[in-house]
Amino acid sequence: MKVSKFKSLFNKTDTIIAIFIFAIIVLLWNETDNFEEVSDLFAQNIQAETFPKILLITIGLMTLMIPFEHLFLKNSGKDIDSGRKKKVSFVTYATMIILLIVIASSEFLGAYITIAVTCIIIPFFWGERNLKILLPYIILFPMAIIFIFNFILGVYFEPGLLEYFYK
Amino acid sequence: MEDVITGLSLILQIENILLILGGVLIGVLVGALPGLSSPMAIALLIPFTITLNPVAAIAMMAALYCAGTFGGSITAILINAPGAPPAVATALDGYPMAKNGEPGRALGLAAVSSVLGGIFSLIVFIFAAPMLAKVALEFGPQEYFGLAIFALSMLATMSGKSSLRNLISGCVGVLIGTIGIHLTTGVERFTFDIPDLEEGISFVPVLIGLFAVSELFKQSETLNAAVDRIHAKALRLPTIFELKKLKYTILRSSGLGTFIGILPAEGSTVAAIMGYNEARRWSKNKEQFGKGSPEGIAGPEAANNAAAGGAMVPTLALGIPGSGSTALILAALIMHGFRPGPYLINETPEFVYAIFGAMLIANFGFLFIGLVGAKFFSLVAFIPKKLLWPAVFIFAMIGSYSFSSSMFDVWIMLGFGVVGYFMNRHGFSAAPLVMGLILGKLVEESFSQSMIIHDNNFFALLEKPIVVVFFILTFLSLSTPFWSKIFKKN
Repeated sequence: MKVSKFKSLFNKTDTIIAIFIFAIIVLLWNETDNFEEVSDLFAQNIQAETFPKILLITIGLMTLMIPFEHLFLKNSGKDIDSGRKKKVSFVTYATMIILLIVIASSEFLGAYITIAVTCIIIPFFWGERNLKILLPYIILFPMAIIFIFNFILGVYFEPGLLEYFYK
Repeated sequence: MEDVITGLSLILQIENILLILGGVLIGVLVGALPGLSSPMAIALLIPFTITLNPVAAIAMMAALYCAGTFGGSITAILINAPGAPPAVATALDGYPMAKNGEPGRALGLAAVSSVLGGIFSLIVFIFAAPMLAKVALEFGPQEYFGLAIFALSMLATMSGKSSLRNLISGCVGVLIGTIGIHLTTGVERFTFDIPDLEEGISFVPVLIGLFAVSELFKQSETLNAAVDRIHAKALRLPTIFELKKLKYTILRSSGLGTFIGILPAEGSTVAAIMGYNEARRWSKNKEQFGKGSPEGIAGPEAANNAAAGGAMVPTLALGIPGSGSTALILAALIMHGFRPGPYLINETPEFVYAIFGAMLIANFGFLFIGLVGAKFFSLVAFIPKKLLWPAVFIFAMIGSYSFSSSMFDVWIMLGFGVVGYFMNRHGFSAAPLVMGLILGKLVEESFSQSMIIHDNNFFALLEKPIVVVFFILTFLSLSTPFWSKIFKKN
């Protein structure tokens, strides 16, 4: 009984978040110890590590309260878990991975192809199958983007793969 | 007077007027599209305005900011889905009025109340900003440190689930600001031997990642959500008789909104909710609220647009952003080589009058755009998410890349997009992080200078009365949740 009462003090997800934040704090604290130290005269008594260390301590102190915060929020009628009750969907994770692949390959593909590929892959992956909408979008939107940004605003677009075809 | 004429003549050039109207159009569009927001649009716009002259660039963003606040009410009224958070309160009575067969009237009330609230706050802005700047001229590093700490503490009261998480986000933002070479000592901090980090993390990809890409991931969870639509054929302006009945509601909300906007970190959302509550509290027809009360639309709309003007006061006069959007405008000012604060206003007052002019034009601009384009904007909310968000991602990618032609920035954008998505999921807002990032340099510089002046004796800061006032205000803002609980119990 006592154990379950003690357990209910902690919010499981928030405890994991707090541990995660503490791990980052430890890592960054360790990194501040590697900062070069300059003479006090040059640093005017404030070393480069002073301010980041103050911030890390402040963040750490506040993070200590996170696992118990749900108790205070409950009193004021807020539910911290309401936005995360549903698991992160497969579509969201897959979208993250697709965008990662798009960016990773963009240097090789070049801007023009990357824009076109993005316009095809994401709507298609998200389930858009209406070709009447999809086709004009895939053709016209990249053209409009290239016209506005490349030709009017003068943004430099890496040619990437197109360069080889051109050669 | 000469400065006013110079400022207004700067803004009245045809190129600038077109840019302002462009900003208004983008603002109303992003406001009307659920998921897109003014901070996101400003973040996406910053890299493309860097080649413009500073007056035109800031004027365009200020116009977008004003119009975006109004744009959010279009979808709040027509589909009960606020396009932007400040329009949440508008939906409470706007949607029922639209459902009762009066969508044009609801839109008209929202537009006119927004314009009146906006103009009220601009009048306050034009008088308050120079006055505040004059006071701030007396500020030394100690006072600036006190002010920055107060501004950070106000993040606790920013809208969001948890004050504690807002504060943590703010501190993380300040910490991110320390990445790169330390200016005083030349020491590399948190660069992890990555050369691209030596100059620190650029604002632009962080802002785009946190506001645009993270929202894309959020939207990917609700791709097939269906909404009921109400068609508005035209926006119907309220009659003089109607406006007479609403004059006190609009005036009260405008004053309240402006005041809330001036407070650091308090934005239009808080103003709109308070505007709605006050309209209800003072109303003789309380039972009408929630069923399509005109006061329930005028109150929050006047307040949220007034907060937009109010938020520009601390942004320009002190260099302390009044809201998430003004934090981005502040970042844009810094990128254009300005140091927002008292010197900006006292040395280039025409710049402030130019911004004033731009926001004034923007207010009439969105009324005009609303009048002629209500039907179009009622349809724009139905652009399929599956096409809209890939387009946003392309804008985000081009925006992040074009700022310094660096793929590293595109990776930063994606990284912050993922981080922003998980932050949001666990109750950590992105806006405090951005404000912390922007205030970070000011906090560290003023802290270091204060410590040097007082020979590392922190308590010597308390000899300065203004610093003490800021520390007391900081204490009050941090302890507000406890005070409010005690008051509620009593």
